Amino acid sequence: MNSLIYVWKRSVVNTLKKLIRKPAFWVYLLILGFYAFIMYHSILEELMKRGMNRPETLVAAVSALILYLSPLSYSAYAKRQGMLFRNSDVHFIFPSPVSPKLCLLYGQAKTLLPGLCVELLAAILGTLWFRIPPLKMLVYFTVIGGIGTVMEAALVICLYGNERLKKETLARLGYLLYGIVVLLLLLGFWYLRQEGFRFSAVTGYLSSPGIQMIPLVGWQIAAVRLLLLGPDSVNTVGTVLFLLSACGLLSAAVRMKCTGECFEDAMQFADNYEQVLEQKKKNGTGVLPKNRKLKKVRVEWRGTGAKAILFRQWLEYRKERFFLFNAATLVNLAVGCVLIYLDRTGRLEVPQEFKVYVLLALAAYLMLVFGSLPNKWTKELENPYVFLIPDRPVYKIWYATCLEHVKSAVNMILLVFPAGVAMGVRPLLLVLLVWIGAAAGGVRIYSDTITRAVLGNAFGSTGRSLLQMVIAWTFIGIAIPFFLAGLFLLGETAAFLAAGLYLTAAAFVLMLAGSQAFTRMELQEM
Amino acid sequence: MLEVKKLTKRYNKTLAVNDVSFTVNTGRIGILLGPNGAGKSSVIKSIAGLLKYEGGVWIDGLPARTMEAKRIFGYVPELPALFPNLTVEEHLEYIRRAYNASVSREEIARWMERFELEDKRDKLGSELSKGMMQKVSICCALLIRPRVILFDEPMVGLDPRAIKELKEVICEQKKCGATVLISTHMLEMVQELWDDVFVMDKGTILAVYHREEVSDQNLDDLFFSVTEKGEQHE
Repeated sequence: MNSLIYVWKRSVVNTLKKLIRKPAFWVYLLILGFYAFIMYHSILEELMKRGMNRPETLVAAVSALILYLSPLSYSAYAKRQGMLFRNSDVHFIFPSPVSPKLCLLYGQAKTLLPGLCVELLAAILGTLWFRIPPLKMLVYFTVIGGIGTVMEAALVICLYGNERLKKETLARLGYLLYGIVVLLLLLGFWYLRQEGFRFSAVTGYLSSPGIQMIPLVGWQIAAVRLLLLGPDSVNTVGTVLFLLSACGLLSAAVRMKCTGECFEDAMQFADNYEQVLEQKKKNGTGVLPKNRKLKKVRVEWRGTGAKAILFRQWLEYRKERFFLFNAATLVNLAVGCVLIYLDRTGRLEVPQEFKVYVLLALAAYLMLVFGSLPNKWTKELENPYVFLIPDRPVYKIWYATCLEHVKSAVNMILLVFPAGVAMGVRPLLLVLLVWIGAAAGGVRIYSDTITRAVLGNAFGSTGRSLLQMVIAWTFIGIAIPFFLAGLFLLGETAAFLAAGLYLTAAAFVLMLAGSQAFTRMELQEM
Repeated sequence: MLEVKKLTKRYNKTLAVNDVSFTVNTGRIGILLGPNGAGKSSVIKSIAGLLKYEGGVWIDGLPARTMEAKRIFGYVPELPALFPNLTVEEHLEYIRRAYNASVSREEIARWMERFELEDKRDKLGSELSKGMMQKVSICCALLIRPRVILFDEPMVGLDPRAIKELKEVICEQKKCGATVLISTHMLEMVQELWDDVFVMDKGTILAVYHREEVSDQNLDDLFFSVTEKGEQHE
């Protein structure tokens, strides 16, 4: 125990020491402070004006968080996930003479701090903003933060460290908990439809006896209500059950046999998690790898030099289950369908001539949201062989990003065409819209290449992402004057044409400039 | 002494280790020798308690995975992974605390000097090269004066000087009565170290040699005679 506390303490101290030496940290802190200031003076003041700074609002927010997040955490523990183990833990902690239960608690402690910070923030906000007496908030922090943490720790041992139940049974339990979350969300949605989409309906749903009687999560909500709003018969029973369940789980966790069979899964997770961290360091985002089944395919290779990159990507995409398509494709299609529904039911209260702009705005928004998803082309820069191919960098960048343009165009077609046709937008405008979308996608991709070539890893992935966003949206923003000039001088079609031409030219210029990234591999490692 | 009895390890449907049994007696150096994918690392990781397995493992007569057994064995993995935000010195301090080892500061300094880590003592784990990480990993394993030591491909990533130092350290441990098990596919690295060799392929032990019995034969010849025989048999 002593040794684990030592590792935890020293890691936190060294991390903080490292952070305060980085200028980027202070810049981010400043941005965060500014953001908090804006939030306070916009959202919170607006809520205050509407009389939302009542204890009931805080209770509703905390209840919603418990109801949504807790079952997901329990489900993750049951599937032996959700504990942030790293390879260093596998190397030094698992084989050491430290009880496996303590190893699990050490893993949980890594996520404990953010959770406790949220509780503390709730306690501070409760006192300052929701006008709840400080003593009450202190009791809340101790009981919900303290007992809640103990209960979760016990659950970690009982679920993650369980060696009596089969792995498959535990996984099924995990899925069952997922199912419960979905069911609660559906019930909530149904309740809101019945009662009307109002805040009072939300609080009504979260305070209903049915919710407060859900084992563990509901009982915790009951305890929150008892502490912050005062006792009633339902929340008193719920609180007693909450305390009893915490004691029961703690006793079960202490008595349960745990020899460390879970280390194998923890080791697998640690391996995957290291990959995610590596991806994050390079690209700003990362996803846990899944065991994907690849199809067997054959591709006829044509051409030489940099074209080989394109054919290799083509081969890889053909092996994938969903080919070129990903979550972004599905969302584009879904948004298109929602637009058709809204238009057909008369809920899209937009004049006919402005409907094309709704499509344009949505396309820009979706590109902003899904633009940061890791793409195949970014991995090309990690392969030394790409730099060894005897071809010009500009060809390399073109063939490495070619399929990304196809993806952008396909996503745009799925969003724009069905909805546009249903909404009665002119087909020529739809074609131009797809062109604009694909060209804007190109601007986004090549601005990323430029930042990689210019910055490397000097400001970390977040700094690079910020600069990439600034470059991309500056270039995309410049399309607006072109669009307006075309609109006022020659009409709507010319406006779309002007914007498309400008964005294509901008993408081309950025591609030429960004091809620098493909000249030397060291640019990625700066 | 290290005893492994009927060890079987499956990864879903793949059988990685099949009914493997062997013993390395006290004060001897055992070598798990085999090509890539033979199952050597799975055996080592199972002994270290990192994998779930069928069969039994005893460390100095104590069942592996018990705290008593863990207290007396050291483990050097194939790919060292240091705590990214702990300095070299803090790694050693962690080991001292975790194993409740009575190790003096002078002893820590001696190990660091031996593996040329003195000037790296305040460097964070994330700031070290792979070779340096391996040296720290070896220091940590030896610091607790283990009675059984597991090395998984220990020479990979080390410079020639460190390899020489490691070989000397292994011989010293043997002289002190420790049991050593090394998994490797680098025959030349363990040529002068071995006492017992367990030749593995496809998850099973194909042959066992004791130095006393085959003292005049080269390890290369012994290994290839077994593995080539296996290939011909197929």
